[in-house]
Amino acid sequence: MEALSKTRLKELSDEDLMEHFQAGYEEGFNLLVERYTDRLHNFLYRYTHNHQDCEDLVQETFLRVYRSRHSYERIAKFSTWMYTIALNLAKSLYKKKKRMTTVTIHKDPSDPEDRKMDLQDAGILQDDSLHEQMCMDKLKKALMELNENFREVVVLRDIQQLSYEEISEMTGNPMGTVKSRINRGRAELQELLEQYVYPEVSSQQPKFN
Amino acid sequence: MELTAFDSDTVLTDFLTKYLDNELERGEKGAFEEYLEQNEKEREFARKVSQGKKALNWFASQLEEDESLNSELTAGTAFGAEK
Repeated sequence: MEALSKTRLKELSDEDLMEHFQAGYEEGFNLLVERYTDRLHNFLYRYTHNHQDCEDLVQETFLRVYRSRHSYERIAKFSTWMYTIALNLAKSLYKKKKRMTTVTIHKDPSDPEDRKMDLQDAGILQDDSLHEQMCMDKLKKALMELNENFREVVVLRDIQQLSYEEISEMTGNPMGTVKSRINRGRAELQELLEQYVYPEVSSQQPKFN
Repeated sequence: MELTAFDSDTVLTDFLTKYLDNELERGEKGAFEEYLEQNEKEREFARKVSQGKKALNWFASQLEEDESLNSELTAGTAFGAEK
């Protein structure tokens, strides 16, 4: 990879800029900072309601992006990766301060779905650590096989436990698209699991909630 | 995966989302379950969505319980970039 003119750099996608940065060209990083400083600040303000905290978190996020540049892989959109860093930093900050101003990035104890899965629920996970490990491996494999658009939203919803509004904002997709992709992503993941974990389930009666 | 009515009907998608998030009123829930009873393709899709959601919730709980596993599994990906 070679040095590029500023005009050419501006035409690159975020992911291309990140790769340029990973190749040793800091111009890529500088341009990402330029692109995302305001957006990141606005995004973080929803959690902090404090401009000073936002500024600190934005600085820290870019510092982490800089330091962790080699851990970024193109399987994730750059913006999702960076917003995840920012969210985790915001969570840590407010855990320390013990004064969360919103609950949206925490689990909701009143949500009946927000619980450890009953290991018998899906009929796939047995009370055996080896089997659990195997299931983890299969789940990870299935997740990585999903189309990137689906993987991104199911990870943000079901693993990061963000709200639909937050996911819509982070990914830049309308709410309807986000919900539709989450459902489709979950269904395709389940189909993959049924193919290589428990094929007999596909012939069972439907079971909801 | 076969296309279903959920792919073209945003109202249905909203119903399914709320159903799985336990946000439907009793009457709405009953009506939606009746719809699923009568539409096999949609019922099968909803089953997969529901089971996929449960599998992902379990996956997330395992990641939370085991920080080292979390780091190993999520290194370099969007969902474990930084802690």
